[in-house]
Parts: sequence; C-alpha cells; structure tokens
Amino acid sequence: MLRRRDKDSNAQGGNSASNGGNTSQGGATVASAGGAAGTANPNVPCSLPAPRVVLLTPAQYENTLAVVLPGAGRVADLLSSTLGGGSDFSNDSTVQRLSSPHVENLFETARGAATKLSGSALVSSCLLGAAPDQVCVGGFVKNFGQAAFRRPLAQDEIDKASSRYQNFRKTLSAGDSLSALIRTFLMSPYFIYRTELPSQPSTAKGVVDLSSYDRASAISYTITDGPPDSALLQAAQNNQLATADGVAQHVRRLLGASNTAVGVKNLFLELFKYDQILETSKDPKVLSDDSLRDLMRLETEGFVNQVLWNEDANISTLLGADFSWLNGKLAAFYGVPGVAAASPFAKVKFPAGFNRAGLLTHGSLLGVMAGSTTSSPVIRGKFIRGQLLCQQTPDPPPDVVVTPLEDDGKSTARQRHAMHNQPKCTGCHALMDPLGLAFENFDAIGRYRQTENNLPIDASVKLTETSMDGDFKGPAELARALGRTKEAKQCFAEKLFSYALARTGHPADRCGLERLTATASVESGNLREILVSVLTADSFLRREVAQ
Amino acid sequence: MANPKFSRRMLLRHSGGAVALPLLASPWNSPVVQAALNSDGYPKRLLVYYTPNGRIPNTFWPKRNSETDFDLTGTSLQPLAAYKDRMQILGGIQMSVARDAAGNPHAKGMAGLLTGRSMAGNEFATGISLDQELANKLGAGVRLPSLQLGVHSVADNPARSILSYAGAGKPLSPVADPAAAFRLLFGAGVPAAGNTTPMGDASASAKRSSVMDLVRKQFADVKTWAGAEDRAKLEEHATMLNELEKRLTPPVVTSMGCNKKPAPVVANPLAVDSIPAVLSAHLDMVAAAFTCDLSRYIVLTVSDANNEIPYPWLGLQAEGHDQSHESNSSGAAAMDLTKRERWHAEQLATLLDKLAATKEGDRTVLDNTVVLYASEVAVGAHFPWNMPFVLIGNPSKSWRTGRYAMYGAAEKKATLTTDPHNKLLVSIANALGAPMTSFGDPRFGSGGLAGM
Repeated sequence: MLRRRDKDSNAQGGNSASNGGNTSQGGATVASAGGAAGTANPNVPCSLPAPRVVLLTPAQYENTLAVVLPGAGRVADLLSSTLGGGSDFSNDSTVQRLSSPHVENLFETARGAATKLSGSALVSSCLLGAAPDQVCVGGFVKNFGQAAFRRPLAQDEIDKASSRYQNFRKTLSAGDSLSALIRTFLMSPYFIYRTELPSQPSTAKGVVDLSSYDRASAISYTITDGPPDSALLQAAQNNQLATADGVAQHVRRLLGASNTAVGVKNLFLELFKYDQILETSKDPKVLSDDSLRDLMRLETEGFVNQVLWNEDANISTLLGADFSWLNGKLAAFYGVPGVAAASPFAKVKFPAGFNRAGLLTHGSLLGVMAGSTTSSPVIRGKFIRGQLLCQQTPDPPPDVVVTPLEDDGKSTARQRHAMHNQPKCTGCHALMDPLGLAFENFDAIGRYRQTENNLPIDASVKLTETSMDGDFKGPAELARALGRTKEAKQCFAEKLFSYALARTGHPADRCGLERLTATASVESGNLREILVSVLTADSFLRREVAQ
Repeated sequence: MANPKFSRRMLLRHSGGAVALPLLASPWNSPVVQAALNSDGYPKRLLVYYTPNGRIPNTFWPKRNSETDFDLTGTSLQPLAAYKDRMQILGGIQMSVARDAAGNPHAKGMAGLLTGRSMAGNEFATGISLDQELANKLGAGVRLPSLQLGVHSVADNPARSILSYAGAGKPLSPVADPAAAFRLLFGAGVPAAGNTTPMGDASASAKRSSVMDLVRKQFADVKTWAGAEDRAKLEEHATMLNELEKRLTPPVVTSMGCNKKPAPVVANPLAVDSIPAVLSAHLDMVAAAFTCDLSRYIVLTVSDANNEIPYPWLGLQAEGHDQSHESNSSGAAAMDLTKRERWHAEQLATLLDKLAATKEGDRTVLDNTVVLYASEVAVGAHFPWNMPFVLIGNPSKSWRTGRYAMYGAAEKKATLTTDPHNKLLVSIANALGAPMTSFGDPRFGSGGLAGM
C-alpha cells in the first residue's frame, strides 16, 4: 500500500520534535547524529540497547508467510490498515502501535492462512491419516516450526506442539486439527516478531551476542525484507555468524544484487516516498497526461537501482548524477536530446551543462513536493534540510495560520516568499526557502521552465550551514554540492542506521550512531559500504542485559 | 424503517421498558452502571460522526434570526432537516487546544477534538479521549463499551486519522473492514456470507482456547529476556489476545435474535470506490450496536484529515484536501466540497432514520443518543474558531433542543477566553451520566456550555 503524505507544514518526515530530541525551538538546528547519551572517547565501548522484539512489518510478514505457506496469498495491505505509522520507515518500532483491531487482524490473517495448506510442501500425507504416529507429527512440527520461527525448535517445543495436534485429532477432523496446529505457530510471538535472543541463555547482566539465528534474521529482514535464506540458516547452524567478518560476508552477498536487496530498495522508497507521485493531486493544466506519473516512479526506482548496483553506490552520484533512467517519452518531457521516442527505460546520460542532476531533479520528487498547480519552495526546502541533511526545522509557531502562498499570477515564487523576511519567520525560512527556490526552474510536476508568470526565474542561492557553503546557480549545481556535503553523508548514515535498527531516535542507540558517523565508510559516501558498517556494528549484533 | 431483525425491542416491551436491567447478560458481565442509563432505564449512547477538513461556511451555517428561528433550507445540513427539533447547532465555539501548541493544524485538531488536550510531537494526543473515558466509567457490563470505525481513514500519521485515545500517546486505530467490525460486535458466532464453518460452535471455541494457551505461554517465555520496554509491549499484546478471545466467545444475545444478520462483505474496504459501501455498512453496524446495546460509545471517522481523495461517485475528481485550501467561500472548489458535505449529512440521516424508528418506551433510540457531527478544523484554512459542531439527540432529557446557539464570535478575533470546546465535551459527558466539571486540559474551561 502506498504510504500517504502529510501535507501542509508537516510535508515530509516532519516528526521533528520526536526524533532524538535534537530539535531546538525558534531557529536553526544544525545537530544531526549523536547526542547526549554517548561516550565521547571512541576507545570506550558504547553501552548497548536491551534485547528487543521487533514486529515484522506487514510486507515482512507476507514474505515470511509466503515461505511457510505458499498458498496464503497477499496479506500485507490488510495488515497495514490497522497498524499505525507516522515515521520515515514502516518498520519503526517506536511508532508502530499495537491495537485491538491489529491483534484481531493478525488473528484473522493466521486463521485464513492456516486453511490454505495446498501449496505447502511441508504437509506430508501421513499427517492426515487415521492415526498419525509420533515420528510423522514430530517431523512435520520440526520442519514447519523451523520455517515459521526461522530457527530450529527446541525438543520440548516439538513435543508440546505434537501432543497438541494429537489432542486436536481426538475431537476434530484431520484438516481442522492441522489448521489449528498451524495457527499456534502463526499467532506465536516467535512468528510475528523478530526476536533478539542472546546466544547463550544467561541471567547475568552484561553484553551478549545475538544468537546466530537471530543474527541471520536481523540481516535478512533488513536487506531482503524477508526471512533468512538457506545459506544464512546454514551459516547460523555452522556458527559462522558469530564474528563480524562472518556476518559481513553474508551482508555483502545479499547486498550484492538488486534482486535480493528488496529491503534496501524499500528503504529508499520509504525515505523518498517517490511513489506518491501516483496519487499527488495535479491540476490538468499542469499535468494533462497522467501516464507520466508512473513513468516518473519508474525513473526513480530504476535510477536508485542503477546507482546502487551498477554505479559507485555513492551519495554524490545519487544526488548529483549526470544521468538518469529514462524512456523515450520521459526523456522528451525532460528535454533530454538524442533519445528515440520508442526507447525503453535505460540509463541516459545528460548533455554537458544540462539542467538536471540526480534524484532531486526527478519529476517524482519535484511533483510530490509541490501543490496541485504551483511549486512549493518551502516543502522542497524543508525536505532537503530535514530528510537529506538531517537538519530539522520546527513547525510554525502556534499563532501562525498556515496557508500556502497563493500564486497571484503576477509575481515569482521568490518575490512571494520575501514575506518570510520578518522576525517571526526568518529563523527557519532562511534555512528552508533558499534550498527550495534553487529548484524553481521546475514547476509543480517537474517540468523545466525559465519563467514564471512571464517573469524570469532567478534560481541562484546561497547554501548555508553545511560543509559546502557557497553561492550556487540553479538546481543541478546545488544538487551536486549537496551530494558532497558532510551533512548529507552523515544524514544518510543515520537513516540507514534507523532502518536497520528498526527505530528512530532512541536514546540507547545514540552512541552507536555517533560511532558509525565517524567511520571511513560514511566519509566515503558509499551507501552499500555504509550499510555493511551498520550491519556489522555492535549496536546491530550485540545487546546489553540490564539485570 | 424499523429493523425487524433486532428484537430486543420486543423483550423490553415485555419487561415494561422501565426496568434498568443488565440488558444483555454475558459471562463476563459486571453490573451495569446506573448513571449510564436514563430515567426510563434505557442506555444512553454517543456517536461521534467525523468528516474532514472543516466546512464551507456559506453553505454550512444556516440563516439565523434567533436562537430558535433558523432555516436549514439550502444548507449542507438540509438532509438532517427532519431532525431539526432534536438538533443543536453550536456556533462560535473554538478549539482552544488546537491553538495551544506548535504542529500541523489538522493533526492538532484531530488530536484535540475528543481529548480536549494538545498534541505532542506532531503525532499523538496527550490524554484520553471522551469516548474512552465514558467507556471506562460507564461501560461495565456492555459487550464492547466503545468502538472505533473508520471509512478510508488511512493517513500514515495517526494524528491525522485517529480521534480515540486510550491515554496519552495511545491512539486506537479505527476498524476499516465492516466484516471485522461485525465480528467485534457479534463475535465470530455467525458465519460470514458464503462461509459455512461458523467459528462460534463449542468445538471451535475449545480449539481456539487451546491454541491461545500455547501462544500465551510463548509470550510469557519471550518476556523473560526482552528489555523492559519490549516486555511492556509483549504484555500489552498478550492482554489484547485475551480480550480478543473473550470477544470471540459468542454472546448470549444470540438467543434473542439480535445477531441474525449476515456479516457485511465489502470486497476492498480500503479502496476509495468502496467508501459509500463501507460507510453504509458501518452505519448499519452503529444502528445494530445501539439498538442491541452491544456498544455505547462509537466514533466513526469518514476519511481522515489528509483527505487526499476524490469522491468519484459524486462526480468529484479533485482531491478534497487540496480543494479545501482553494475554497474560501465560493467558487468551484467550495461547490464541490458542499456536495461532499451534503452527502455526508445524507448518509448520517439514513442512520438517524433507523434510530428514530426504534422505540424505547415513549421515546426512541435516537432520543437516547447524542450524535456529535464534527470536524478537526472549522474551514479549509485551518481556523480553529467557530467550529462546526452539531448535536442531535437528548439522552438525559435535560437539553433544550431545536436551536442554533452562538457561544462566541464567529470571526477570527475570538480570543482564548471565549468558550472552548472542552465545555462541549463536559456537557456531553454529563448528559451521558459521567459527572465531571472539566475534561482534558483544565486550563480550557470548567463546567459545561451555558444554556444547553
């Protein structure tokens, strides 16, 4: 299901006050990673979070169910409908809200799925016979349980479930008994959650490794959005995930190809929400051909794939590339020369000095961050500050009634936004507006233009509060500069870290995040290497038991 | 329009209709709270009917000559004209909590509407909502004291789609699928259309409790090693499972014929095109819940404060939220939104017809219900003053209905000292049997609205 956009002052990822407490009121906030709870000395190990249970996202649940019961069908959209959200990422455990309707929804989903055994290779005929013996039942429970729980069952778990089945058989048909047995697995916390069990059962306090199987799941759900594959389970069984090197080997394997790294692709989708172009309202005068919407979505999806898996995977390329992923129709819309009208989607290099560069100049992002008829420099600027540089700007003060600056038909957006030059507004708008005004060469659907209301557009801006401060002329120039800022690198690292940890801004994660942002991989800007650093760090692989 | 399928009426008529009895005995019943019933012994109920993004002032507010002399003709309230004498249009009230803090104005309005408190972190209300307060204080003995229903209430940010809160930061998601709402109300005792294996029979119950036993043990096991925060989460999950099991046990009401109605089936309850079908099914559910006394405090949200959807069945292709920003007073956007408002009122009228056709003593279910028809902002430009509050019904028989009252200035100069909507929440609570002098943030008024 598409995630819906919050509009008005809260345009994209606007949960500033709740994210890590780095927000200050009334002006610039230029703190990103790190914070109070860390330890400044990099030689002292960070204190680590407590062991957790992480609710599978609806998509992860569906992908897991597809392995366990291939006939169960699509359930993610229905599960999403009762699960609260409101963060960048759908896996964010700090905003997922369990509710009675959701628990009921999980129950009904399990009930429905348990009746759909036809596709499961795990059901052997001996189970449905008149008097199945212990070997037959135990064998099924062992295999089915391992698939459902992503770990081998303990013997007493096998015994309990087997005897439950035999009890069911006394009063119920074989089919009903089996479906009841399957429901005990699908309603289990070991199915619904991803657990962080310690490798050694111990009640002592102190730092513990995640068990190998829980490491396998943590890696797999983060990168692939699904349960561990056989190679990962094998590695867990052979104790090859006990070291960071062993983990890194599998992380690199799964990260290596776009078809396994479904979770990473989802990360970028949720971060940029570019699919919202499909349902963002556009006046027919601005967009008369709705088929462009899906082309724009496909452009960004293909571009992210291209950068991450066929180019250098670098943030500077993601934000500043001199190419995109276009077909003939979209290339014509953008005015890119030399692409045949019937050309299918492919990498297309821009001519020298072209007016576009990187992700921020895609029609999808430009269109989502604009109104129905006019561009929105504030939304665009707030997005760049907040989501790309992790520099949150607070919401407007309570006594300001937020209404869009209406296009009066006789001025440019830059002129209209001059009204923010007053003490109450300028503290934040001086940070946001220039970044958005640099993209004024793109209208509400990302069409290139040089004039607005027959007045020339001035897209030159001053970039402030970054490591690349200076004067820039036009969107391509600014986009390339943003991609090289230290702030963007650290911000991407923070986002990848939040996605992997499945939560945002938790105090217990701050020290780990601080350490991450100091690593060479973050400095390099290579997104895949940053992910390797995240997934091999103590904050991902180890936990601290408090009592 | 009487609904012959629900025969509790007959039962009550036989009992004289004057006995305050635990209407529907069920295994986990605790004694009914007397204050929750009116002087005739009938339950008093609340329906909050929410529709988004304020109203078009020119077509919503009726022409008013005096408090009791006003004309609904031509307004978007006209579909409710048959209930004008049971109606109170409350002009000039402001939602002070929505002016109190920073944050998105729609989110602040949603978070504050039923909690009477301001929003935290742009996401959640900071206190319990009125429906939950009433359910806690008055709902003992009722199968499902409160119920939240949603019609395409899908905004990601809970503060954009949710009105009910169990407490600070504890939003209660509305149920989207009418079939799921049906199961909550009636248990799984009735097979859905086309399903021949009812789950309510004894063997299914036994099977279910056996499954639940095992799962409960696993929750307890996981809890032993999880960190404190997640232990609380697991505990909450396990509690909800227990409550679910309780709900799935078929209610005794079966024998009274109150649930001999097939479960509603809407193929894709989250699709925009399904909105009319889902709303209609949900309204049926409200009628069933009230007339069978299965639930008393229901919040029904139609769309959400994002409302970025067309209404194609009305021929309206533009998105509501965008239009609300373009619709100061007149023009095409205002006309489109007026059509939506009229349609919302027409749908509400179908429910009121059912409730008014069901007798309770010499009154009707509608008389014993208070319907609050509301939005999260007053108008598309987000003003939180002159909120479009309309009440229908008179559960405690103490209200002066049939009036259009003015509680403050309609224009934007209203200050924080004019009547805040917290007073309206207090008035509603008092009428339903919960004595309180303030609700929500105590800074915003004490006592109910004057002249009710």
